[in-house]
Amino acid sequence: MEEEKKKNGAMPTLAYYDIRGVAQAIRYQLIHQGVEFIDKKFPTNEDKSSTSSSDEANLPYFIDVNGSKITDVIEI
Amino acid sequence: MGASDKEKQTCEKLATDMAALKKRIVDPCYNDDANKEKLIEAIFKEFETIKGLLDSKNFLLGKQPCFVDFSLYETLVFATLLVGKDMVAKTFPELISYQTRVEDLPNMKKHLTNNVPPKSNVPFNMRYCKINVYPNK
Repeated sequence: MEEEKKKNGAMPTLAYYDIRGVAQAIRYQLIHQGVEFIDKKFPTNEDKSSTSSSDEANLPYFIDVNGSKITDVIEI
Repeated sequence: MGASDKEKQTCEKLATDMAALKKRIVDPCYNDDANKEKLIEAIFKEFETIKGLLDSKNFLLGKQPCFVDFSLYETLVFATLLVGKDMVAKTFPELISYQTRVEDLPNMKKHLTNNVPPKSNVPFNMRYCKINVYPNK
């Protein structure tokens, strides 16, 4: 069921590095509100050998179910 | 974030304040000249401010939690780890009660008792942190 929702883009996405950082409070807020979301985690620079993708340029970002993307922590 | 326009404004200001607070508490731990005693002294001053902000409220804006509470909670987790939970409980019991209130929110409780990826669950990056946050490890 969850996989299907992810596949259909029916779940919002929160993307950040694989650390707590500035995204942790947002994760907690979503969890508190009972929002099912994709917790997309990028490896930190210390954990990867390849160069950064453009997808990582504005972390954290949040994509809602309509596809709107916001990148500012407070805005999220 | 916040129910009324006034609450939204307060919430936005607090969100900025909380981000700055976390920076003041966490960033110095990664400095080459980090000194645990001095950091704890500075944190205690911050705790006084937080205590004043919370006053007798359950959460920062009153009875219901909002985003800034999770931001403050996250900072308190770091600060409590640094200072030691027993010491915080002794000097600022209201801050421990506040953390417990946030942890006891139904969905938070469920989340915190479930397994989370180990790396995301470690507050300090000990590869770079200049002070021993986990003295017993």
